[in-house]
Amino acid sequence: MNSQVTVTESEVLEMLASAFEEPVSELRREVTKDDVPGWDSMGALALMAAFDEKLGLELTAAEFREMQKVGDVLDFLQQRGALVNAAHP
Amino acid sequence: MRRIPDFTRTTALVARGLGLTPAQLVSAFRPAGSADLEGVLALRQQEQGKQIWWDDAAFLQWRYHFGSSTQGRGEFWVVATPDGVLAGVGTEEAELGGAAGECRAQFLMDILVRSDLRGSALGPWMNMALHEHYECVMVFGSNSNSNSMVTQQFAQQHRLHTYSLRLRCKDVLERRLGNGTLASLCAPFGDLALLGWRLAHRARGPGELLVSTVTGLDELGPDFARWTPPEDEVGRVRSREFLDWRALSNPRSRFTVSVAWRGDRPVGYLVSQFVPAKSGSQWLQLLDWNTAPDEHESALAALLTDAVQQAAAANCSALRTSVLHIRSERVLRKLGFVLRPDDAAPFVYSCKPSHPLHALKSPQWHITHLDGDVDQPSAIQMRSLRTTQLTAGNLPEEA
Repeated sequence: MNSQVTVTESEVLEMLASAFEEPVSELRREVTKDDVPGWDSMGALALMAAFDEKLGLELTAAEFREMQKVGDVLDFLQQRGALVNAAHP
Repeated sequence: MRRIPDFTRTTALVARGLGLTPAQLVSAFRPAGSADLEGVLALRQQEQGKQIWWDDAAFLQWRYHFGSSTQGRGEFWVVATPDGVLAGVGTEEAELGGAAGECRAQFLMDILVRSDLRGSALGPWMNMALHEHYECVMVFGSNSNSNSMVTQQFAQQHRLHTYSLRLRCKDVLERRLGNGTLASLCAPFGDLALLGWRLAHRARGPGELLVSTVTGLDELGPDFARWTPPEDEVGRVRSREFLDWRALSNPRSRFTVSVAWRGDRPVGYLVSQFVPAKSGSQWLQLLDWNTAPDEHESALAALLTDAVQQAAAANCSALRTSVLHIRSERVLRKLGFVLRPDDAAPFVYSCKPSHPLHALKSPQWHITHLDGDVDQPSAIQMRSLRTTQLTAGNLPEEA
């Protein structure tokens, strides 16, 4: 199911920073989950809730496990039509 | 702080991820019965098999009820669906005493989630569900999988303090100098300095207390160890029955119980274990103690002095302990034990407003390693374990 709401990449990074308790300045596309201590079960719960509340998107356990780095989260949202390209709003 | 949804919202999110309704998820979470034992064993073997060096069936039935009224000291809760046991978490009921009066709390332990369900937030959900069910839940210790849950799902946060008393220094010198020959040359001087340290801190005072090792607790009387914490302290009420269960009947690990006597009156006990270390040496881990209220300093000093002698006689490199107890820590420091700032197991809890602990602002806790659920193989057990089960990589760091 695609999202009815769109967000920018910087808004996604803010969501991740909040969910994983990591400074947004530390989150870049290539940053892996092993580099982020808060990328764990509590992070999964916080992200699940954020996607549901802000984007109307379900994030399954399998989808969360497949996300190995920040870029994968952005790609996931891109595929769901939730990520707006800042250059082409 | 990250925003974590409340229990109702979390139930809806987690249930959806599992293909269940919220009501189905809640009813799937229940105490395990005897019919669940096989599924729980299989799940633990599948998820933790490499770390299990003990008879897990015997261990689970020693620790948890599994539908029986005569075994265990708590429930093992499972999320069980027609798909099998998806996840589980154990509880151990503890009787508390002291400043909170007589009340009970549940220690949580042994949490696991089937690996294909990681990322479903089932672990945090189970914690929340137990918070709903019980008046007071506690956790001792954490690992990389549970760190966040421990720090963020419990209102009261404490850390135990780890102390060590070094007896020999050769292994540390080898590690630090990176040169075995040089370490061997320097070690005797280092050991002499350590001996001097211990002599400077040896216990002074009443020498009338004798310490002996006991193999059974029956002859010590029904009230042995049942010393109520002072009014300004809170801790588990130790009892002969609890000690017998936790220290002497544990199928996973072997411990030693020493008793301090004034005449024919037992005035304190200490539980310890020789633990192997990577370097090939061993240390003496001090796991638990309690004393008669009027004999705390003298009894604990006598027990610790005896432990040091036992450790030295067994060629241990050090003694080590983790504790949260101001009065005991004072005695440890007096006897030369040194605080290790880098090791600190968490002790956390949450209570509903109706629980007596909730009203206490800053209770003085008496918590020891035995309040947790982590057991290590003793040095004797290690010698009989097959080397394929435990490699040097699985052994704890040298003290």
